[in-house]
Amino acid sequence: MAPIKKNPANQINSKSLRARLDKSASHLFYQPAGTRSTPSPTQRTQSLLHVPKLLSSTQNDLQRLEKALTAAKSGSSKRAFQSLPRSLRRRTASHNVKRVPKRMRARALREMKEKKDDDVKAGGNTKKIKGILLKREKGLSKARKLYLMRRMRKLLRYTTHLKRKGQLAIVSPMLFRKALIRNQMKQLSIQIRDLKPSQSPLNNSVGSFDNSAAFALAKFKPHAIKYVKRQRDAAWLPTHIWHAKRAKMEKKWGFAISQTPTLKSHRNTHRKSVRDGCVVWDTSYTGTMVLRFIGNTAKAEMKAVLEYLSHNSKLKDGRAWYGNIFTGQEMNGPGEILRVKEDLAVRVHPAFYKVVYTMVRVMRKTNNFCFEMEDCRYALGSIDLVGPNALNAVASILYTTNKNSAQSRLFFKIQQVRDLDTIPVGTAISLECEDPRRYLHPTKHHSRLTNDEMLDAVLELSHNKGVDADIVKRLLTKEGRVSSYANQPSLKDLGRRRANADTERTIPKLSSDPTIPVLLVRHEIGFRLILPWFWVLPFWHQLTKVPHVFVGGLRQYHQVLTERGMLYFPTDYPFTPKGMHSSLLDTMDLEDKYVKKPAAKRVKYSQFRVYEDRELRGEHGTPFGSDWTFLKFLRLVVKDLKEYTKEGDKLVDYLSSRLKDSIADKPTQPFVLSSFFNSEKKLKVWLRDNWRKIYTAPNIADRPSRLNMLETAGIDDTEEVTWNNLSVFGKDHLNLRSNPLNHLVESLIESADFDATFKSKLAGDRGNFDTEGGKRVGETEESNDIEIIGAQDFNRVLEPDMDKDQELHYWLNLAAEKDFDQDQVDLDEEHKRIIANPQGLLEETNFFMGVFKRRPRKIAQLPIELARDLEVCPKRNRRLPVKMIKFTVISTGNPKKHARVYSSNGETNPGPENMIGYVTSANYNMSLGRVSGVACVAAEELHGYLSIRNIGETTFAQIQWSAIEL
Amino acid sequence: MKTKQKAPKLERIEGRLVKHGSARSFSYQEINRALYIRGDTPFTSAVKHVEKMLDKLSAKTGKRGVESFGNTKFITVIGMGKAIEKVLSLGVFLKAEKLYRVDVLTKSVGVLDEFRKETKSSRIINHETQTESLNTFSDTPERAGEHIVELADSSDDSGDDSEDDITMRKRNVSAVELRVWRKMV
Repeated sequence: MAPIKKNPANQINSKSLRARLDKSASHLFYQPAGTRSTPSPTQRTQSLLHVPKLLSSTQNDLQRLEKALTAAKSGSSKRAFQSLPRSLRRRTASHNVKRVPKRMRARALREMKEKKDDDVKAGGNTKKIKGILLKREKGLSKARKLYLMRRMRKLLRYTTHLKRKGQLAIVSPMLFRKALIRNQMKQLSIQIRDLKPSQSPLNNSVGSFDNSAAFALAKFKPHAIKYVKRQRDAAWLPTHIWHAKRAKMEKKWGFAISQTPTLKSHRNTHRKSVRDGCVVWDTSYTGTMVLRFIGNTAKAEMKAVLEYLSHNSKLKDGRAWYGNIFTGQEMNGPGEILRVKEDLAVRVHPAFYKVVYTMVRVMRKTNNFCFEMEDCRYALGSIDLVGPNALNAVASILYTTNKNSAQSRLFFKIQQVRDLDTIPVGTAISLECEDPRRYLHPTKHHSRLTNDEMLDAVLELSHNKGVDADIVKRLLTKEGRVSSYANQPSLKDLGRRRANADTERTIPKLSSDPTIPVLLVRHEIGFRLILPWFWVLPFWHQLTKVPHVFVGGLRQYHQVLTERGMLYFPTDYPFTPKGMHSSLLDTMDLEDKYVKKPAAKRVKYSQFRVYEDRELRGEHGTPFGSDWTFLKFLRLVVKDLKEYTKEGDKLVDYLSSRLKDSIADKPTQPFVLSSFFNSEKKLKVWLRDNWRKIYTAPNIADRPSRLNMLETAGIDDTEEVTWNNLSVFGKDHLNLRSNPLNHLVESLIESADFDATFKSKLAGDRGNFDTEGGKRVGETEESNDIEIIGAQDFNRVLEPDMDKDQELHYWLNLAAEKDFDQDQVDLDEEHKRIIANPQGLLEETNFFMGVFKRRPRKIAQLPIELARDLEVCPKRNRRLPVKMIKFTVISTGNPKKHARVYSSNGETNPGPENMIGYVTSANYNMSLGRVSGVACVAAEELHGYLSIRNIGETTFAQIQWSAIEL
Repeated sequence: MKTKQKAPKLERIEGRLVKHGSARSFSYQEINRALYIRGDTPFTSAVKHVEKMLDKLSAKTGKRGVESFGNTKFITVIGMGKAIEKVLSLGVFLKAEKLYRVDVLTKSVGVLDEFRKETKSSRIINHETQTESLNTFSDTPERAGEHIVELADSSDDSGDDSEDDITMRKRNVSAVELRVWRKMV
């Protein structure tokens, strides 16, 4: 390679540069001739910058620069879709013009063509432009394409054929599983042939139907034949397809639910929910059961049921109640009860819906009540709205049929209220609406009402003026909902009508157009719109067109609740069975992730020194989450020890000071015990005395209550309790339990009378779970059977010639014949079964908690005992009484979920004996500028100052807290 | 001289008081033009809010990058009840220290009071009657399953239904509104 020739003239260094600058700038300075060599002081002042001269000389340059800048701006390489706001950007917009908003489409198309020309010139991509011309030609093989086309053709033929007949084909997911394609086709055609045309048709062409069941649990029937296969594990909400394009979906509680939008959303959620808009959710996964009280005892029965479910027998007509739903004494989680005349609509979280429904059914049977029960899980849907714009937004999509009705007038009076707090929780408004899709855009309502007028409307609403019993009846009865689907127009129908209309904005109303009953209820944080299942989507589409509306997922719901210091189910409900399950699942998930990491990348929790001033090593409890069992034992042990020495808090101080010495000698000793007793010998004596105390007491009640926990099955009162009996130096399984305290607790558990699966879980050996032969619960044998589930059942539901009463009776009879639903069981047997094994019911329904895809195993078999560790009621024995608190961090620190809570009592460095609970939710609260959250702590220790420490960290954050009353 | 007549004091209704706010109406424009002050709003942060809002009013950037002034010439700062004092001192500060033109208006705002008659929660009663020695590991579902209720005579509780356990009442609260005018350039 030839060396680069250096041209001395072009060489740039500081010297040459300065020389050139001097040369070029010299003419700008005024320098009289002949005086250059020795300038006098006056001459020096004269040789200053001559601005006009400078400007005139650089004018050309500046102009050229300006021109270049403007040229660069207009002819920039920025494509049309790149200038869109985030929420309007689509992944495929770069190659599909139909993904770009209409107003920019011409530009996008032009750019695309230019780019294509460039590509072709460069000898590259010759693909046609997508969205305008055909789809890409290469890809699938000819045979595959042929198959797909044939399949589509057939499916389409069948669906259109059936729809024309007014029937809905419900195809088993099995159909598309393993059978040969030809066989599948054959079987399908047989099934189609067998469908008798005489069976009763649907009352609409879009396939909407009412899927409810009386005295039984309704079975989900997918709406569209095309998507049967995808709904095997989890039912789709009405807005599933809309959400699936815009959010991360998660299979939870038997539904596919949006977890979080793909857009960044933490700040947006806060702003929209607090300041300048509203956040909306499709909450159709909430289960609804309708209870109809009839006969002479209606009122008394209703009272009893209310008492049973809500522990509060009073509920005014036309109002809703929000709170925790019980079944007898067991708290399940949050729910709402709406009362209209003699009907109750109970809406609860899907995680425990089945439990509540079945328990109410059992209660009805036990007491010989005669109310009617209907499961409307898949028949009623709902949309939640939170934020200052919530009412305004929902008002802009609700077109009431009777504008002069009392409800409608009141509703439009309050629609502009910004603080939802103005309207009391439980206020309900029923409305009868038109199909919102008749209007091209949502309609904004401007009202010039004064504050007083709006308040009067709110007052009127609180006197039960908002609810029209007839409208609610339409919503809560099967025939009512079915009537709302009559002639439900498809989008195609609407488009056709719009094309023929004079104005594009509104489609003229037809007399056959359906009217839809809806119910708007003020819930704890916002409003909830309840409407028939197949009307959720049309309303949803309109709602998303309203400005300043932000669509959230489960995570956003959680955020909004945590910001308000409220509890989110199931995360903040560890004292309920389902909440505890969710907590355990979280822990297991994190542990799985940890184990999958290579050893070198793992945090060594066992070696981690939690307290800087103490030698103790290892994180407390499991480092993967909240270890409730550990907490329970810790609290009980610490308390017992305090009681034993009768010195109370002083002891802790004393021991803390002695700690270093004692631990330094014997690092493997159980921390708490050794720290309290300072020697193994003393501990042994203590244990021996206490075991004797326990076992010589004549009955359980006389034994020291806290020591009941230490009760063992294998040790009788004559045997001397030795160190080995407790097997404190037990297995060191995952090397995660090397914390001596863990050893102690583990040994206590091992000796206690616990479920074997639970023990094995704690022992770290989780491979022994009974998973029913390797299958998840609820999964059936694979087979090639082809069936059309429930088609016959469904079609029998509606007989067009019947009047409403007849139809209802016909339908109830069907239910009684056990023919209506596959889930139908003999009530007596069911009752007996549940009485015999009440826990079985909980276990059965456990799989609802499961995340099917990620964790198909073990879920059903988690021990129920564990779920009963915590209790919000302080009177119970053998459980750890807990309280929920909301907190704000007042020092520096960023506590996360599962952080440990300490009662610091003003001490700077709390020790393990001060640990009293876990943080269940925490996030950065934008309005406070700090982290706030919710924690679950031992109730008896809840006083004074609290501090928080994250897992794997040594710093403590101070918090300000207040208890949440449940 | 005329003596001022005080409005009669409202009677206290039995039950727990739940306060509801006034019925402000939602307007997207108002968000950047009105500031609501609470009793616990920090003074300095309120001043900063006001200045930021005034900045936004004057620095409206048009499409072509030219600064234009909207029609709005002032922002409002509103506080009621306990916050009146804070709002007024804020006004004085803005006028004297920051040299803004400040107008003060007084008004009264209607709010809603809700009185809830608390029935003694049966849940608490149940807890109290529960004995210590209950083995709760298995008791609950059984008890729930065997939940037997004695029905009261339905004629007895007919009056129960009409009983209003929630009473709502309107109340007027005095409030003060500041108009802080933007500085003309």
